[in-house]
Parts: sequence; structure tokens; C-alpha cells
Amino acid sequence: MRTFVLKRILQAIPILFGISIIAFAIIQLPPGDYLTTYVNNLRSQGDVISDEQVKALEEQYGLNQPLYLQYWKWITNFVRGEMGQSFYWNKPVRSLIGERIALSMLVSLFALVLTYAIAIPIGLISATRQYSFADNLFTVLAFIGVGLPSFLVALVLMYFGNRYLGLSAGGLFSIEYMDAPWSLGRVLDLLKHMILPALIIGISGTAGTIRVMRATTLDELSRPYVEAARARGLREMVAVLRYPVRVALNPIMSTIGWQLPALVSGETLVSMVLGLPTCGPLLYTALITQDMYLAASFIMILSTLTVAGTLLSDILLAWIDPRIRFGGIQ
Amino acid sequence: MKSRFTQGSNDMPNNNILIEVKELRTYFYLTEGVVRAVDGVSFSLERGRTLGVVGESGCGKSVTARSIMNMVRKPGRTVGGEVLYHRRNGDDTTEEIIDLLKLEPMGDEMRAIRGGEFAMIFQEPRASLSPVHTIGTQIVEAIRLHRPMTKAQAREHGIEMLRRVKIPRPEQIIDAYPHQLSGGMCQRAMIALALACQPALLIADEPTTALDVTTEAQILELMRELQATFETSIMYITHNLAVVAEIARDVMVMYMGKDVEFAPVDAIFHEPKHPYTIALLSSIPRIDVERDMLATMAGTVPDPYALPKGCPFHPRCPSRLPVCSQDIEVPYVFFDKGHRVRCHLYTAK
Repeated sequence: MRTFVLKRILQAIPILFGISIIAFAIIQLPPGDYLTTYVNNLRSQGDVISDEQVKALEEQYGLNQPLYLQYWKWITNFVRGEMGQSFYWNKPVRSLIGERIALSMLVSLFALVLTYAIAIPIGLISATRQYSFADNLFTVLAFIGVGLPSFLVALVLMYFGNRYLGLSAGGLFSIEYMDAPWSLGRVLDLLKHMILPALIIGISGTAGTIRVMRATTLDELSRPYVEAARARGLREMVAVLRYPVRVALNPIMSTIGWQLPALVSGETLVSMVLGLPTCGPLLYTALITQDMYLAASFIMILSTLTVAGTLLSDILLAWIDPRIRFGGIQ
Repeated sequence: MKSRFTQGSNDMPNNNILIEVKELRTYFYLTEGVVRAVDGVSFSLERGRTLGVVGESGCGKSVTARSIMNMVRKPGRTVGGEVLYHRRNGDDTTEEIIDLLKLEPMGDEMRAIRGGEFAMIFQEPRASLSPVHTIGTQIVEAIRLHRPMTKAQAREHGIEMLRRVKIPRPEQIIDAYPHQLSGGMCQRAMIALALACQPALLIADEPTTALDVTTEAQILELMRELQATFETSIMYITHNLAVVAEIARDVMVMYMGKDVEFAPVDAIFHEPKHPYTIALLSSIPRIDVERDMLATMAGTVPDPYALPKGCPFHPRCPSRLPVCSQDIEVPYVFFDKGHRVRCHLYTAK
């Protein structure tokens, strides 16, 4: 197990290196850079900017250096936690991303927990009572959940939530707490604002997970070891929960790690509709405005989380499934 | 009053019955129609003896076994008959008779019998063990379900059982996962698990079908040895007549949910009565008879949704009579030594 984990971690390093190059290349791909956009904007507003000034700016941001130098400077700084300056916001990237990442993760984590708490039991009921009324009902609901675009759900729920339940219609904080320092009141305010976004973000995931849980459990329920467990005299509940469900949870456990990047960037559209101060909208504007350091940092963070998530999934799966753990030995 | 079905294969008075199955009927209610998987089967099994149940796929062998365990699941249902279990107390002084089909299938009483007094092993040994639990976890669970033991005691007992089924290094193998063992080893582990609570009946549902011939021979040998030690009755389900000859004392031949013939093993092989049994036997290659072509049975297995009227075998039967296709239950005809057959050929006599 230890060599397995070590091997996987070592494998992750060249992958991350490759990703960083690709991330940097993607940032460079579109014609022009932020400075060009910036200068053009100023000029179109009538400002006179001489070529010398442009050169000086290029110098300042290192844009006149060869690409590999720019890359090297960026990646070495990135590893040290210096993610550069955002042109658009004129702020260090780190301070821009910081709180948003925490809030994003909080909302997404909330949604994720909600997803599993709802989806796993429902999937189980659907599978053990296949084609019953409950199963059919959940199946229809799940298909609707998968099929509806979440931003639409967001709009509808926002309207009804605000109109009939008095839930806040957007943002993560009330006005009085918007820029206030952290306090119990602010946390409570945040939780109150989080229910709706978490529900909306969780809906399609819940629907999908119900289907996965139902399918894998159905697969496992017909296996001989379930009948063997019954033949041993186990209670039906125990036989089902201890054996097929335990096996059916594997695919769900193994995809938990992949949720990591989604925890940060997940549901950009929903965040924009609901006006959440999370990462999604920030990444979106960064890409639109060619704010290269901000965008590259995001892509790098998301890629790192993807790699880390996959690693986590692999380790989790090896931990819960002996067939994987001992796979290399046989 | 003693039924004629309780006659064993010897002429001794019969007070040694373990289970008596009477007129068992288990149907499956599917959208395509009703499948009469088991349609009126009667037999009895004595303590410490082995009954071989033979027939081709889909003839109702496995469903009979599951009906006895009272674990037929939807869309199947046991719609008629009795499964009488002659349960003895520890010192064999008193005996009570329980109709298992009257018990709640998932109720406490039935579950105590299932696994504790009746155990079962299956066709695919590795698939019958949970892939994500060790052998030990599953054996300990089975033991503690039916015997008041601590985890440590149950584990000790489990290791001892693994040793009894001749698994090498049982102290280590108990912590192994099924995928780390060969099919033969998994079946040994299943047998250890099944016999751990010293059941009165072991139902073996084609336990060696998925194994190679050498392993099959070893498992059969092992089962014979263990039967001698534990005095367990065995109901051995197979489609392989050679295996039956090897292990069984009585044989029941099934065809399309009916018990077409029941006899001591010698009688089945040397004086088969039912045309189906005769056809089955003549389709086995023999080393002592020279033959160019192996005999095959005419026709194919009928559609389970539309069984032929009367005797289900009559469309394929070489000696069929006009009466065979009439819509009447084929009566039992009894011979000596417990040999009986359901065939109109013998009612005329």
C-alpha cells in the first residue's frame, strides 16, 4: 500500500509539469496580451500613449522576454506562492483568489455533502425496490434533475425562495455583513445564504448519483455472494448493506476525488446568476479580459486539484477495494 | 401415517428422515407468463445420506433447493406443498416436525435454520464470497450469527474449519481475499463456512461445475470425508451423472419441474425406468462400449412458458403412448427399494 501511494505521488510530478506548460501555452495562444488590450482601451478613450511608454510597461511586466523565460519566471514564482499581478484588477492574484477559494469550497462542499446524503439512500431504495412506485417516482425526478440546466433551476428557485420563503435572492452575505469582519452573526448569515446555492448546485449531481447508485446496487444485488449471505441466515437489511452496498459504493467513493476541482470552479453559471462571490465568475472574467496571470493561476490550481483528486481517488479505491490494492502482487 | 415417499433405498423401517418434501410447487410470475419451475416434487432425505438431484439446466433443481431453504425470491413464489424438517434436539431424544414453508421466509426462526441447520454452497465459489471482505470476516460472521462465540473464538473455530477442509496455512488464508485464492480453494472455504455451524443438511448446488476435473475430484473426496465426520445429509445438485455415481446414494432425476424418477444410485444406472433417464444415460460416452456416434436425445427442451400437456417429456419420448399427451398428472409407479418413476409406461402393468 505504501509503495502504491509513493509511486502514484511520484507519477504526479511530471504530469503537473506537463500541465503547467500547457496552461502557460493556452494563456499565450490568443493573439495579443492583456497589455495590448489595455493600451488599445486607453487609446480609444483618447489617451496618448507613446511607444516608449508601452515598451516600459512591457519591460515592467516582463512581456518582452522570450516565452521560456516568462514561463520559468511564472512557474518558479507560482510554486513559491507568488502568482503574479492581475492586470485587470491591479491586485496580486493571491489576494484576489484567497477568500473566493474558501467560499467556493464551502458552498461546493455543502452541495457535495447534500448530494451524497440525499442520493445514496434514494439510489439504494430505488435499487432494492426496483420498479416500485417509489423507484419510478425517483427515476422521473432524477431525469428531470439531470436534464434541467442548473442556471434555470437557480432562477426559478431564487424567485420562489425569495417570494414565498423569504430566502435571500443572491450573494452569500447580507449587505450589513458584506465587508464586516468574521463573527458568529456573519457565519450564520453565510449559512442562511448558502442553502439555496448548495441545493441548486447539488441538484444535477444528486440526480446523477441516484442513477449511479441505483445501477451499481442493482448489478451487485444479483451477485451470488448476496444469495450466499442470505443462505447464511443474515437479515435482509444486513445482507444488503454489508455486502452489495459496500461494493456498490466503490464507484462513488472513487469519484469523490474528482470533485476537488469542481469544488473550486463548479457551477460558474449558477454563481453568476446568484451573484456568489466565488471563483467561477472570477475565472470567467479573467479569461475574457486575457488577464494572463490570474487565468494561468486558476488553470494551474484547478489542474493541480484534478491531479490531486485523481490521486486521492486512487488511494481511496485501493483502500476500500482489496482487488485493486493487491492487483500488482498477483 | 407414513407416506410412500419416505421410503428410503433400503428396506429397513424408516425413522431416520431429515427432510420430507411433499408436492412442492414453486412458480415464477413473469410478464411473459408463469414458469412452473418446480411443479409437484416429492422426496425425502435421510440423516447422513446423500441425494443426487440430476437434470438439465432449467429443470428446477436449483429452485427446489432454494424452496427448501425457503429463500425463493420474487418474482418466484412457493405456491404449494410442504417441506417438513424433522428437527432433533441435541441428544437425539426428541424430534419435532416443522413445515418450513409455513415459516416467515426472512423471520428469525427461518433465519436460524438457514445457515445454522441447513447450509448451502454454490456453483461459482469465488463469486459466492464477497470480493471486498476477507474469508475470515465472512466465516466469523456466519459462526457468530448462529453460535454464541466471541470474535476470537469464532476466528479460532474458523481457522480450525479451514484446516478441516485441507486449506494449507489456514492461519494466513483466513485473512486472504477471495481473488487471492484459486477456485478450488474458494470452494473449500465455502464448504468450511457452510459446515462451521455443523448443519444437519448441506445443499450443494453444482459446487464443482465451475472447477476443473482434478479439483472436482478433490472436492468430492473432501465432501465424502466431511460427511463421514459431521454426519451431514447432502443434497447434491448436478447435471453431471458421473458426479452422481461418485457421491450419491439416492438419485432424483428431474425434467421440467417434475421428479420423473427416484431410485438408489445403482438402480438408476443399471435399471433406469423413465425414458428420460434412459436417454440421459445413453448420451454419456462409455469407455467399455464401442460406438461411432454418441446417442443424443431427440427434440429440444420445451418452452418453459408453454409446457406440453400431460407428461412434459412426451414430445421427445421414444416410447410415448397416446395417454402421455392427455392433460392428466402422470402418476407415481413404485418399485422395490424405494425406486419410483412417473411414467405411463408402467401404469399399464
